Amino acid sequence: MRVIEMKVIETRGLEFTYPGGLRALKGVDFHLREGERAVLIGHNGAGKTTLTLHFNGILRPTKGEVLFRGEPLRYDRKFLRYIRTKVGIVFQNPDDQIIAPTVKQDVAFGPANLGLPEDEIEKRVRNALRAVGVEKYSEHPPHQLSFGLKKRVAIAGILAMDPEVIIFDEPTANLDPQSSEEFLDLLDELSISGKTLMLVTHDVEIAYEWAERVWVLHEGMVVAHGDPNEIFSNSKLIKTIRMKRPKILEIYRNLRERSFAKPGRIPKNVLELIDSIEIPNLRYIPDGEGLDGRIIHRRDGWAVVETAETRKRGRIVICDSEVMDENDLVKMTDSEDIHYIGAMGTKAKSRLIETGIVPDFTSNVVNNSILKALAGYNCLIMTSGGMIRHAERRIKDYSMSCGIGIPVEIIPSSPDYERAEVKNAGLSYEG
Amino acid sequence: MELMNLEAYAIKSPARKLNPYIRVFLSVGALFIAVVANSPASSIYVFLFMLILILFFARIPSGVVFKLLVLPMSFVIPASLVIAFLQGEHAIFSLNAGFATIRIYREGVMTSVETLFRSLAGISSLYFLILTTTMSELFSILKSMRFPDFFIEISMMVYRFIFIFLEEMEIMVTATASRLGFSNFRSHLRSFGMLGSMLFIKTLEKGEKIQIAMESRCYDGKIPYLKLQFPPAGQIILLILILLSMTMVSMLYR
Repeated sequence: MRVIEMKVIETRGLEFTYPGGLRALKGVDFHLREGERAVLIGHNGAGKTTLTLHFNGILRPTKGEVLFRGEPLRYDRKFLRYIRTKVGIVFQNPDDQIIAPTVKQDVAFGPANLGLPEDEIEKRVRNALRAVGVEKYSEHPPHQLSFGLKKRVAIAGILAMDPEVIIFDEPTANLDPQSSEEFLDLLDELSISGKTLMLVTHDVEIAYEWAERVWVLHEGMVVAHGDPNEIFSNSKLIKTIRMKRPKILEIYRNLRERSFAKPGRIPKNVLELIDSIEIPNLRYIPDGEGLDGRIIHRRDGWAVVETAETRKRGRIVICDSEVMDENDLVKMTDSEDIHYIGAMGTKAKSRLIETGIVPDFTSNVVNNSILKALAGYNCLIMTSGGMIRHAERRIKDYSMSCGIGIPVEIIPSSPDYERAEVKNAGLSYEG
Repeated sequence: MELMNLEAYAIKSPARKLNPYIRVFLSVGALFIAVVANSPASSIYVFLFMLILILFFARIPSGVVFKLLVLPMSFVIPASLVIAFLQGEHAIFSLNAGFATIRIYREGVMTSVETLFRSLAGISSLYFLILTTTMSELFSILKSMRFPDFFIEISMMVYRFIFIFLEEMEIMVTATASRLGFSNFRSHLRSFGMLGSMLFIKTLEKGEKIQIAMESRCYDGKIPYLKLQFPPAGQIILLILILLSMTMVSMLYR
């Protein structure tokens, strides 16, 4: 386990005013812990780059101090050399950094200026080029490389100096999405190898997904720092610093509001987001009716509603008494699956009496059946002719108006009945 | 823009098997012989020799070589033609145009032909160098030949930034053109002036950024050079033989 307590870089009350009188930093207290992955975010002109240029002694604070491993920075030649081997900065535009006529020579630039022996330089250059994957371009002049490759060369130039802390200024600006992803992979590798890393960026997605700690710089001051979840969940803060909430977090929060996601661990990436998804207890009902649940989603006049109760609902079987033969009727009414039997219409009633079956309801059959179904019992409605359609419609209407789906089954199923329609009306996701 | 990227050919060229010293001395030596020797025969010999090297040893596509030769030829040929009219005593052609007489002299024609081939020989020698040697090899050779550091370093930076500013310039020109900055003569002039001043400002900004980046990498006056190997004996002998043959030709056919 790495020691996370050690502060590698720290600033105390750092103030900096540019010669033109621009107050870029107004008392910044900042630190980077050993081995951590930090992100510095802030709007354009918040002072991010100015702050990072203090870390390796390029800029000298007007007030306050910068410490490296607890030791205040001194601005003599010797100490500056030391601090610049310890803190590497990869600048935003690789063309500002690459100066030599070939990739290899540029990567060797830092080590050569450290006065290292030839074979050590050679070794470091080779390793750095391999680490960023540009070995095969080592003899190429930089202007023949694509922007993404130049960026890698710039990173290799810093890696070759073997710093403990690497600061990346807007690393993914101008990179295509694929290169950005590859860059993040590279960062992971560096992080695993024990480097302390900090990204200066506008990209909230990367900041959220990658960082262990986020620092927010606003108008030359640190306004917040901490866990990315905390920072990006703070809507007010996000608005003041002119950022936006990361998509993953935004999606998660919306799912959560609709009970589609588990509470607890807040997802950082797509995998964790998918993991957090949960299917709640849902109904599909027409929108705009009085209902006793929460609307989760609306579409085409329908609403998905989560109901508070979760008990099982019964189903209603509508049976055409004319078509069924006696044996089937008896078998069906005797089955344990059916709890209540209703008879609707004179034909059905007399048919039941003929077969010796005693119906539970003979009046108000549909409503009674619905009530029983709501209580979790299965009902059989014996009826015939147009009454079948009528009963079906009444159940469907009820489902639509109260938002509680009741499965309806018609026996025997006939092409005359549009079962899809029935299903739609009384559909219940829980079955 | 393919001509801008001559170094790309150099990187890929199989001629890089040859030690960089040999390549540089071969082309410089050939250039020297072609310029000093007073014989068209040796110029033709050097020209053809280097051309064959470029095409078949360095494997540069003939189309590229042709374009590269046409470029300087467009002013070498008119220049040599003029020479034919200028000097000499024995006119081989004369035309009286009333107020002046146009004459072509025998000696003039000789000089003209000589100039043409001498130029061709020189051009082809230098093209051999350019098409087989990268700038960094060249800088390293200069370094090993004790050229002053500041001279090489400045050349290096200049070489690097030529491309950066070309890119910058291209972007600005495109931006200006797409806002009709070059639509007529007046706007052309004005835009050109603005581009110039913008480029100047950008140069300053860039300079500052580069200084910061170099300081961040502990710049201490050291720019790394490539390690150069001493050429193997076989290549040295080959070089001497080639240069000798060129000298022989120039001495035999005056």
